[in-house]
Amino acid sequence: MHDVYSPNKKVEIMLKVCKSIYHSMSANATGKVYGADDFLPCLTWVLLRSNLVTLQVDTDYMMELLDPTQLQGEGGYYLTTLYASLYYISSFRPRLAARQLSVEAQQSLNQWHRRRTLHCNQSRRSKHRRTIRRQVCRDGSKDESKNENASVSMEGSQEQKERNTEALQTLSEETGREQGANDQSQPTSPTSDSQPVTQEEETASKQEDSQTSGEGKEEDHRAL
Amino acid sequence: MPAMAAANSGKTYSFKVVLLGEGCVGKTSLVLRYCENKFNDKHITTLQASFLTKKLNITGKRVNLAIWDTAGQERFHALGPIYYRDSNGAILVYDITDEDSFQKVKNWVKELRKMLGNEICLCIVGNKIDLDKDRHVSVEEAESYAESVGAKHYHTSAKLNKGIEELFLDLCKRMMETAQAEERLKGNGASQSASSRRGVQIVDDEPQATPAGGCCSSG
Repeated sequence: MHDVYSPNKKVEIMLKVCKSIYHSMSANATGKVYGADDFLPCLTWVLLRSNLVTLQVDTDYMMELLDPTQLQGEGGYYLTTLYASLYYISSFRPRLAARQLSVEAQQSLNQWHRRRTLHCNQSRRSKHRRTIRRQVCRDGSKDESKNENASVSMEGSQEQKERNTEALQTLSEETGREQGANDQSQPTSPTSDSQPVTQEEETASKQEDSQTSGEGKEEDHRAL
Repeated sequence: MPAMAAANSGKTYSFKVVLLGEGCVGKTSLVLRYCENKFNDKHITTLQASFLTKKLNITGKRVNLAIWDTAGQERFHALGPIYYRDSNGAILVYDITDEDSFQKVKNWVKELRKMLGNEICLCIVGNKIDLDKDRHVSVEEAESYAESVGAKHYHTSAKLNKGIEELFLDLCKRMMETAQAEERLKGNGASQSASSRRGVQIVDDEPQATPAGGCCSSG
């Protein structure tokens, strides 16, 4: 994905990857059709396994440079899903407590929306985008090119996290309970810290169908 | 999506509809049923069921629906805004046999109203009416709640293909009305972009409000 220059081409590759993920998912259960309930966890798992350093950059690149009309189609949907998945990975802990996007993320999404909306005065909803890039830098030391940036924003978001945690202490109990209940029934992403590795391991062990269709996933990585 | 560009012409409408609701309430089955008239069948040509489009013709106007499925599990709740931004309509699905899923719908309604205001058309959908004998959410409660938040309530069964066509048709009509009202408004004063920034202010006490007891209704 990183090798092609045009955002359109990148989206095409992304869609191919999504398609092969779907393909791998249905390898074990023929006839079952998967919606986002199943797809998002699988995509997240694949991303965690794939160790793609450039993915965040490419996602931002696509989101910034795609024609706005394309952001509403299938490409837009899967780009959004990719973004959501990356956000989920990068903000595992704090988000769990907050149950919502960070203020930082929301602001930059809104800025992005203002810049990139087709008919700005027509669609007045808030578009939420961005910022993951900073948060990802925070926990992925792999992205060395952005280290400066990361250290700066780290302070900010740490503070924010603390504030959030304080405000939501009462709530987190409840969320924790819900989470527990969910984990029993859902295969992916148990409660763990935001270390991708830890999550990866646990997720891997729980997700049977993804594991058995590992070959397909390998292809995904190459395609990416 | 070539027709998207024509969204403003008044001839073709393009609407984004987001599907929200807890996991396993049948969001995916519902939309699959609608778009392909299938229930758990295997031949989906495109990228499966997360994103589906449907073309409609309502009173001579062409409508393109883009239906965005979301992951309903609680842990993905925070990703909601990423999906529902810019939506024209939201379909909030609950399982009539599952009281908890109805509570989740209430949470979504509150959040959507807070973030997107009244411009989004909300549909509250009680799915799985084929399991009516196990019903745990009463019709009266659901309908009075829907009315109290300005949403429409529907009963559907993806399994029996009941009520789904009506749901989407009705939603489309309402979204068209909203869009037309917006157009008229824009004709009056084109400089209302100031009001378009409402989504900016997102306060972080949202989760606190959420479990506080299902809004002003009977909760």
